[in-house]
Amino acid sequence: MNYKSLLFVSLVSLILSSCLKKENVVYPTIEGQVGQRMLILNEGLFQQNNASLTWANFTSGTVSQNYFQQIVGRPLGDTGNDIKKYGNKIYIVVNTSSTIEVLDATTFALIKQIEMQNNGVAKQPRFIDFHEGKAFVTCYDGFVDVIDTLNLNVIQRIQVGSNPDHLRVAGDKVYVSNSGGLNFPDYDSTVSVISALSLTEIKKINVGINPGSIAVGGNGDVYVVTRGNFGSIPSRMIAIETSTDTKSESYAFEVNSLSEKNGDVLIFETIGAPSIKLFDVNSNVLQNASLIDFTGIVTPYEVQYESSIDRIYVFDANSYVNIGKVLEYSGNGGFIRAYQAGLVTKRLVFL
Amino acid sequence: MIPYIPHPIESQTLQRNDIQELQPEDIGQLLQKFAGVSMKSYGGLGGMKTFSFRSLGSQHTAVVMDGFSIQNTQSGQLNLGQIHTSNIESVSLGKQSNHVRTPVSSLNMANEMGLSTFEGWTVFNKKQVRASIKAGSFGQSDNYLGYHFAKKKFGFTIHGKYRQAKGDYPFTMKVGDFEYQGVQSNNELQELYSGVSFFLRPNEMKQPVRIIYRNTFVDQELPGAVILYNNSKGQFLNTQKHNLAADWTHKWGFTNIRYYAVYQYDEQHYLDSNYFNSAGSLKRDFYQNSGQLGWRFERHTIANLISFYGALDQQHAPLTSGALTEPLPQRYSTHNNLGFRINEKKYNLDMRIGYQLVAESKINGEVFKLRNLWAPMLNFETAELGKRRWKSGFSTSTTVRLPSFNELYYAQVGNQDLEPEKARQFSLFTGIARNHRSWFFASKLVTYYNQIENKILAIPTKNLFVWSIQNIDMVNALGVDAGQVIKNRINTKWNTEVQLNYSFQYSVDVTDKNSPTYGHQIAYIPYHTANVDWSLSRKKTNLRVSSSFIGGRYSLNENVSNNYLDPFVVLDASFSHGIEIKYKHKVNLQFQVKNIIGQNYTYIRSFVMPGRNLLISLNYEL
Repeated sequence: MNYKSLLFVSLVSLILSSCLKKENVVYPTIEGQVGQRMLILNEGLFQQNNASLTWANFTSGTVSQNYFQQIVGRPLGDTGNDIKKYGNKIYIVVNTSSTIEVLDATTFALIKQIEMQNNGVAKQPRFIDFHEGKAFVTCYDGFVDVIDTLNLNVIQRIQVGSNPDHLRVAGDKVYVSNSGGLNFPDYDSTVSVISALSLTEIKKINVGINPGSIAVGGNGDVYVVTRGNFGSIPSRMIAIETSTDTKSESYAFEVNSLSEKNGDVLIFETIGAPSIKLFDVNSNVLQNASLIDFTGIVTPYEVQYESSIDRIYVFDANSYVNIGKVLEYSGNGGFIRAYQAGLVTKRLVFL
Repeated sequence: MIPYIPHPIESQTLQRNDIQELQPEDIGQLLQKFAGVSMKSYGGLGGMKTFSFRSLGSQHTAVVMDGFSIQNTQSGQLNLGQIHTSNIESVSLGKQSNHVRTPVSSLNMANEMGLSTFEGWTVFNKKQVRASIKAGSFGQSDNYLGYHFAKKKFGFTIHGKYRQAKGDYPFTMKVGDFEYQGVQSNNELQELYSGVSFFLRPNEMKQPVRIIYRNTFVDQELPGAVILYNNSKGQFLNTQKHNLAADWTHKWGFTNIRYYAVYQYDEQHYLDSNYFNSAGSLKRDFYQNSGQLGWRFERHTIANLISFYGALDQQHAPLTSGALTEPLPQRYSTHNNLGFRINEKKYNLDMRIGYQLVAESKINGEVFKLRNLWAPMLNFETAELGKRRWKSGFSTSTTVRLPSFNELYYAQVGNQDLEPEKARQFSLFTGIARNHRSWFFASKLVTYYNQIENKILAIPTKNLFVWSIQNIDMVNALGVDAGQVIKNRINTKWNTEVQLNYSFQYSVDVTDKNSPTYGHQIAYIPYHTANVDWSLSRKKTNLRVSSSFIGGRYSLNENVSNNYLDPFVVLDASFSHGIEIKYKHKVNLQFQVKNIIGQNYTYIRSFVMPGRNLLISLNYEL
């Protein structure tokens, strides 16, 4: 069998197997069923082993701290970085401990602790996203790990740029920010595009230095924050046209991070007065005024939008060294309530 | 009768006998024996150790070895884990001793740690040899040799020490109710210390000229913090230090003048072999020079009733490193001090004013910031009164500590606008010391109020990964140090001694009333610390039991249960037996168990300390 025949057979097998999978397996969607409960991930501080979960039950009005340790019987670890629900599992990415803790989303029983080590060296996982039964995890050692969500084993390592940070699935592709943060001041400036089907990097797009947060717009474009150098080069948001995987636009406003809101993008920025503004992806217009009044928020750290109940959540890290809180707002910015959480509140999942 | 013992209130001092019995790994372990000290130890032999004294960070304490200041303008503080004790004759902590050998830069600081070493001696017509061989747990071995030879007019001392350790030790770390067990690895250490000193005098009536050279080479793995579920390590540190110092004290009638010069060269190479940059590792190199030139005079009146003193020294400290935002930061400082002492029969009064002119430069020696800093001090104390040698007094001073080069220029975190951290100290002290037949009792009580303004802290600014050094805090510290020494000569063969120290520190953040940490105890300052040492000796045989208690404290300024660190007690015991053979050859064999109860403990959150360990040492002295 010559090379071309081998390639042809491989491609046909791949397509067939993809089709078969799609027919036989019903994959869970990333949006879990929104109920009356949420888990808040508190990042904790580096080398303090104090990442934690806060459990909030709206129905009973109770908030419980150190929830992971209560239910699993051991601490979560050092520097919790991401939490997501996929199917009936909750995935918690713990960066410095270099683990992914997988919990049953109904019983909260620990299903598995995935040790993210490579020949005894911690891979330092950062963020997680999902596509058809596979979890994609950025690892600061320059790879995106692919985990089979059924057996929770790492099935592939895909080399990308340096210090990959945020990632987001759009269609059958995974967009990965290669931050290059550990090469300061020579940051990376690319976004890797991975085929979620072939599990290979198919392109690197030059976007601007220090790429970070990524959001997928309702128009199909992918939006990426280039964080600059926190000095002379300012942060910017750029757009990637996913049909060609090329940088299509750069927007002249500063931005910390992005959240998806019903097809549009929430722009969170803290240079000067903190603000959250809506960016209309169709008209390319950024709202003038902040949706949220930040008065009383000490250290706005992250923003998350929950589409199923139209809520905006602002995570107040409270100077990073004091107990933080989560503030809940309606989709148009009306304050609803606040929850006390743990140290450096970061993200949440609804259950 | 017990011989006259100096009043313990004047300074907290440990002499060589105590040091030998305690067999500390380094000066850091010794300092814990002093009231008011809060130690920060990052674990392991040779590991980073710093301390605060009465809630003032270690940068407020001058380190003076044999009358010469030792400085580190890069980090602003010395790693006490790299000052060994084999050559130490005495260590003291507290107010400056203020005699002609005290350098002016020390007088302008809040406190002083004074070290007197074997090689700093200027004893003439004497030959001395000291040697020790030690072996202990964690693959530790330690060899020291010191030789002192002096004729009528000149003498010299040479010394060398080599220590190595494999260092790995098992640990149990408590996180909440969970106990995490493992082995603290990446602890290998090799250290070489050596030096030579010369001293000569034209005649027996003159003070000698001293020239002292010391060097230090340390190659060490850094165990770092224990990270739950992740045991990957790969950090290394290489340190090299050279120190050349010389002085001459000239007596001219009622005037003493001391001239001194110090040159110090430090090199530090840090490597993180698992760093995910394009090179695959992170390497940081620092090259630091510093020079100091100064003189000091003391003029006594007849009968020493009044003494005037003044001093001036010039310092220059450049630092080179690729890790800094500026290629060659430099600091030029001039220290001045002028004061007088009144030594009345019933009281002593010491008043002085210190002044520092500091020029900071970052490019080509051009000055971009001039600092004018004042350091007034007043100390009043009664003379020892009556049989009980009762003594009391008060002291107040205002001093500053300058921001270090790391704080000013370190990549990403440095802040060139930093102001010095100011410390105001007020203390009241009283104590008695009494010899009564075969007993000696001494008690002391120090109450103090310290105020720290413009405290220099590293805080995250833009996000958790972008930290910056800022002047932010105001801290008030109210404390009490209490000490008790009891010695008893039971009979001609048996002696016993008990030493107790207790400290209470109420050290709170008063920066911002709206802050959640307002009025909270400062991180890593325990409310209560104590130590008790008991020794029993029969002729040349000695048993010593030594304990340290560190009370509950917090790892962050917010005093909540998640930040709480449990109190702990560490108990050590040593047993030694000495023999003296002809020609004054003394041999001593010592067996020591450290952390007898196998306490699991940390000074700093996640930095675990070793459990029970053993040390055997054979000491020789001529």
